[in-house]
Amino acid sequence: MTIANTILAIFQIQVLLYTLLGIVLGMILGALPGFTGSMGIALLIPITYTMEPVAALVMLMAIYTAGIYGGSISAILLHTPGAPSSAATADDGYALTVQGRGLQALGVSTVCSSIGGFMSGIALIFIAPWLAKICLIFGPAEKFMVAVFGLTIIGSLCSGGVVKGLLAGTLGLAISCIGVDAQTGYPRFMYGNDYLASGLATIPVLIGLFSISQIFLMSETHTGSNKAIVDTALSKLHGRLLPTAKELGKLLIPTIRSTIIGIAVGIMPGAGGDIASFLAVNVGKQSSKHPDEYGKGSMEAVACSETANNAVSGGAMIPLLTLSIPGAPTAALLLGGFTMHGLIPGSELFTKHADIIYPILSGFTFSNVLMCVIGLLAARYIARVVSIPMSILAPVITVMATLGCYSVNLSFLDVWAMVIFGLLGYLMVKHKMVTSPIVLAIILGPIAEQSLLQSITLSRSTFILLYYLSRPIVLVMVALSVFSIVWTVIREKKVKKA
Amino acid sequence: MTNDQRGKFISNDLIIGAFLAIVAVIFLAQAVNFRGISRYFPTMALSLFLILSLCEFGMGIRKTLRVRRGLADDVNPELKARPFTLFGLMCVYVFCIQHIGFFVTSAIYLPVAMLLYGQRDSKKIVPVTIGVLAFLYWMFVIQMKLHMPNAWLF
Repeated sequence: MTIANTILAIFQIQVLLYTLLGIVLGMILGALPGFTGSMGIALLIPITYTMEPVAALVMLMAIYTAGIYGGSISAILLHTPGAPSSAATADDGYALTVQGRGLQALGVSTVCSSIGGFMSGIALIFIAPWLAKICLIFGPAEKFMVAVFGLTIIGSLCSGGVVKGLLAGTLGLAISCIGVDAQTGYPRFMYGNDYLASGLATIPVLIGLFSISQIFLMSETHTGSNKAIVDTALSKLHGRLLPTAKELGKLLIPTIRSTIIGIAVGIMPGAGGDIASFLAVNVGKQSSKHPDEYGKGSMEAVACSETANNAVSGGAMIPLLTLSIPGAPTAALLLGGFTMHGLIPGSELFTKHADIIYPILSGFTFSNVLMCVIGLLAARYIARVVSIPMSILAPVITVMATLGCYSVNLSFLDVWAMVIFGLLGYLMVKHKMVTSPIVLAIILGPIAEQSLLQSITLSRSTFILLYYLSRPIVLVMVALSVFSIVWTVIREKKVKKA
Repeated sequence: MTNDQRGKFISNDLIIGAFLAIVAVIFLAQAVNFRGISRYFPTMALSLFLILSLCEFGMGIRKTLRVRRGLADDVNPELKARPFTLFGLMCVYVFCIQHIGFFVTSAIYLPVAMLLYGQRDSKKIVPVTIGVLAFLYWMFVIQMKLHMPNAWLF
């Protein structure tokens, strides 16, 4: 795959239009408090089913990165982070709006988000194939442990506690066992229902857990319109949006530092944009010449937070595309999109499917540039979307989700599964359980099972546990899995004591 | 928290843990009877699920006792009626799509759901309903050539 071919692939009209659509949709969903890019990805995955993989996946990845950026719009203008990853932006961004510098803050947020996302895309293009080559030495035992490690780390990093996170993961593993066993043809948990033969479809589960559950959750509180609040915030906006070269020069070092932090946090499985942005702001404060401004309207803080959370997007894709381990919960959803288009993470993705994957990664990188242009042109208008009342958005999303879910397999059982998983997701969130481990486990379950059975065959007469313990990479994975759980338990105890 | 509230407090973790443990036992009993190697992975996954459910149950007991003894304050999340009403409406909606048809059912569901969410402005309800259905028809029927469900009406 040459560079020219890659460029040609991403500059096709269809790909550009879908990228544009993904950016605008991501920005809108990100800006709406309560909605996230994850919801948009879950809703649009069925629609991408009939699309070309490059256009489809670039659009989904554009929603991801633009959703993170979109969250900063409402964080800066309304002090209401549209997405959790923008929580660190809210204090300084809103303080700047109160000071009459909201438009400048939006400009800095737009440029820095784009830089963070673009640089993480570059890192993704260079690091992922290299890591995928290393993964070639992985046998079934290692692959099984990678799946276990992925589930352990995403479960243990969940906010509701390690037990709840792991419980959600194992529930997903149990769900992944439904259907005809691929190895033996034996029907498991099917109860005579042919619909379940190929297992529970991933898309209805995704839409249910990420979109419908959110609709239920929002129905508890949101009914009215934010129009008056939005109008007041927008009336305070004046001055320039585009930062000058001098202003950007002052923010250069924090931006570079936050990019590195964002990519590194993104690569860490399970850690998302919220962790990266708070870490970047914290490090920025410690290294700043004006630490006293942080929290009271620091442009530097906005730059740190927004660069880092967008830099997570590319970083999170690195373990996802090489080891099937999502670096962030939204990346777990993208895994569903990749597998739906027949793109299974691993070394083959960068060799056998190089003609598809490189345009996707380049398209994602380019989408950050396009996001900068659109953001500078339309950020203040997108902010108006926040005034659309929930009473209109929620029913519309439900209808779209229903038809989207039906369209994948033309099956109403999929739609029923979506509704049931929507309620399950709602109840889980209410009881401080996160839903992303379920999705990850449903996707990783079959891979883990196949690898486990292959490793049992390969171990021959050796006791399976001894076979696993005789492999160095497996030992490292076991150590990392145990460490992630122990570390989380210690952290939880420290938080409780504090 | 009043003493009366403390005395009656039962942590949700306890109930969830007990419920999930029962579910795990039911399915584990089936999984161990699967043929040959088909049982390995489900048994492993459900055993882990059972252990973690029991951990959750144990945490629930601990929380309940701590609150009852006045050592901690804990409040179970409040479940409101509206999400469940909406769930019921969604079930009726899906059932009706299968028997009446997508567009007719959605044309009724959208205004009803908007009203349920508190929207009273008909100048918003009507155009949004027509606009959304027109967009979905264009997207799924014309562009994606989706085979819509066979029902009585369109």
